Amino acid sequence: MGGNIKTWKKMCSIDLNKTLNWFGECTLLAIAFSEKNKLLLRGRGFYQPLFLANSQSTNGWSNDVSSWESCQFNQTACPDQYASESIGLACKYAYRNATPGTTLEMNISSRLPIVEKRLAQGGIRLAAILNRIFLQIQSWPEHEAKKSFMEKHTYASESIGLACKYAYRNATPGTTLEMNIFSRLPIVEEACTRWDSLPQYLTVSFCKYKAGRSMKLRKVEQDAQTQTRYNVEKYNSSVNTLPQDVVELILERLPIKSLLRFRSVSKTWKLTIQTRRFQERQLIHHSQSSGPDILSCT
Amino acid sequence: MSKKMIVLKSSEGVSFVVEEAVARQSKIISFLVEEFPDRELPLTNMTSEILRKTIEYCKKHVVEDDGGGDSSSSSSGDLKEWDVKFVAEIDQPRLMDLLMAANYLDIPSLLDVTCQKVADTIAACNDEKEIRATFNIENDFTEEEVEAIRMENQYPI
Repeated sequence: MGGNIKTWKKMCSIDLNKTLNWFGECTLLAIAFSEKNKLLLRGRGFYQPLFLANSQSTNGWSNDVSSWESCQFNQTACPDQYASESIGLACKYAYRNATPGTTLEMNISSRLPIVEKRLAQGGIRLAAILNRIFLQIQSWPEHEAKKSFMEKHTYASESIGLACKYAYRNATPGTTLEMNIFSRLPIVEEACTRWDSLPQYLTVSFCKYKAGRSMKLRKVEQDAQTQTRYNVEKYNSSVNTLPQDVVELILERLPIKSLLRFRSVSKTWKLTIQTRRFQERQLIHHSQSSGPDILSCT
Repeated sequence: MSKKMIVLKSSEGVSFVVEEAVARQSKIISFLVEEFPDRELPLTNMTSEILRKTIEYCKKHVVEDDGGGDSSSSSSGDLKEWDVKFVAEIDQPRLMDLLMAANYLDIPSLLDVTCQKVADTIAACNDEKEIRATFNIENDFTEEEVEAIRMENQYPI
């Protein structure tokens, strides 16, 4: 690992002090290595050391680092492996036991260890891939190198793009993520179609996963009416089915007097109104629209 | 010049054909159109009624947006008026659906007007009981806890 980092540093020393943009528009993930092999990951707007590659990490995966670097059959990258890990995690955690119509709820804190591990893996792998490419690249005609590199990494960058755009959009630590699984179906479908064109990677477990999916899709069509009825029932119960961020959007539009008075509506409302983040948002909203109306001065 | 059309499908399976510019006010649809061109987009969490309302809003706003030009200041005032009327005509449950649709589809201006309307409804309530009844929220406080909050509110603000 240490050797590789050195190689990589040497090969693209100019880029090290800048951010490394990863396939354009969504500033996905840029990576830099500081002097002490501290891996810094930079996502949208945050820049913090997420882990120490060589520290005695308590995360339990510091020993796996070398295995992440390697790739079967001396390939430059092994997106099939990354993707199957991703699918495995999705089945095991994110979409476990989900059926059509389920609203997925999860506390982002509980997912942080996985996210951190995946980011760490991503960082290590990216570094390893860059090493391989920069080592190989001299012997390649330029356009060919670029093409091969792009194809193999399109999947991964798309995946990160979708995660930024949908799954973790606007998420901050502590946010409870909620989503309707239906809304994600077109994306999942597309990914599965693409998998069909990669027959060599169709493992038994993936076949099972896929079978489950087509059943789901059939069910969607058959149960269109049931679904409508379900929606009606669901929406009848109004505000408490609204996602927390929407409730906050509504509450931040209320004047202070109402907010203080209506803390007694429910515990969720009280907690929401009392959080510092909400109070700041409320202040921002009101200072933009109607002048200051301050909930907290502490 | 013919405009590109997009097909959106509601939870009942009803298809709505809309101009791309209209649909693109939703950031989600905008993205989906790029990712899956020439495909019907299923919006299985939206009823036809709500989808129709959402499209009505987007149509109004797209017309005002590109037809505006130099008359933008007056038309933005008209548009605001139109928005107010638009949400005023919708009953409470439908308004919630519309708000959810705006949130899901990521249409900031529609989310703003619907949230504002709900906030106004809440502000107009006399006490917490009325809010719980209107929005079907369960009271998970004990009598003493409610009393404690009421006591806090006695201090001058």
